Amino acid sequence: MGLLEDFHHDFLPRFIDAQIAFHDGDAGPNNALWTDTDPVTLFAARGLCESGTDSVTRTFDRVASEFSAVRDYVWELFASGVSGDLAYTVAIERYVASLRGEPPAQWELRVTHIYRREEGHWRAIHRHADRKEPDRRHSG
Amino acid sequence: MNELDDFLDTTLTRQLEAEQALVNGDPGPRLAMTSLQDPVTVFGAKVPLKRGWEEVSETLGWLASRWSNSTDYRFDLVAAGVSGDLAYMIGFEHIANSVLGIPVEPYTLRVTHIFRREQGEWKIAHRHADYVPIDQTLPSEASLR
Repeated sequence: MGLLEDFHHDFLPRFIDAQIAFHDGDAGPNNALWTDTDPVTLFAARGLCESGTDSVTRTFDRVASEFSAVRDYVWELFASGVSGDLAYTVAIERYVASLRGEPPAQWELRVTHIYRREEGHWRAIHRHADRKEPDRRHSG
Repeated sequence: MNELDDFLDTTLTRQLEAEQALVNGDPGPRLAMTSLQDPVTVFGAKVPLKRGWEEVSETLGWLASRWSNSTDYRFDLVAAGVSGDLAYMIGFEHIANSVLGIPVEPYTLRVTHIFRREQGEWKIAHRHADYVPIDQTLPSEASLR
């Protein structure tokens, strides 16, 4: 077995770069950093819930194709952890991008990711994303 | 029994009981399961971001003080995993309770939990929860990631 990939220094910067490419219309770099092995799950920003590699990959392809002209893409990382073959990140993603050719708009998402190390390489296995403003129903 | 089965049978069961007590107005068991170590975070269904034991515990107490009379709490597990001192659980919470004494429409949350083992005990290090439409029908623009 070769060198174990370092989560924070080797993997995470590449994963974030892949999200930039994603919002420029290219899902390839992101998909390459997601697992090929179930279980894999996606709780997407507007309520879509997917599981299984085929449906998650198809969703990424479809959604990426709707984004373009990304700029100012940043993660504000609030928490992360690594142990054994699991890791997680808690962040707010901020970016400006065009959705379906509309004028570019500012996006802010609360995002939790879970990652699993498979044969020495980290791969994302779960994304939970929602708009930063929480639903105020039932807040009393 | 493998590590995941053991985790599901013990820690997940305890955590669900704690969530059930919380939506019924008792934050005690959930506070007892919350990590005291940084980082501890919440992306709540009702609060945007809480960080650190003080903020998280205060929030749980505040939420519990408004909740009572839970008539339903169910959890649908979608995925879970354990490795080293980290574990995760992903699923849907179905909740019916009262807010400030007034019964609310049952609601469903998408939930992601991260657990961290500390001195041999599993604690909740992160919770991310948001609302899902009860009927699961989504508008066409819900293709946003």
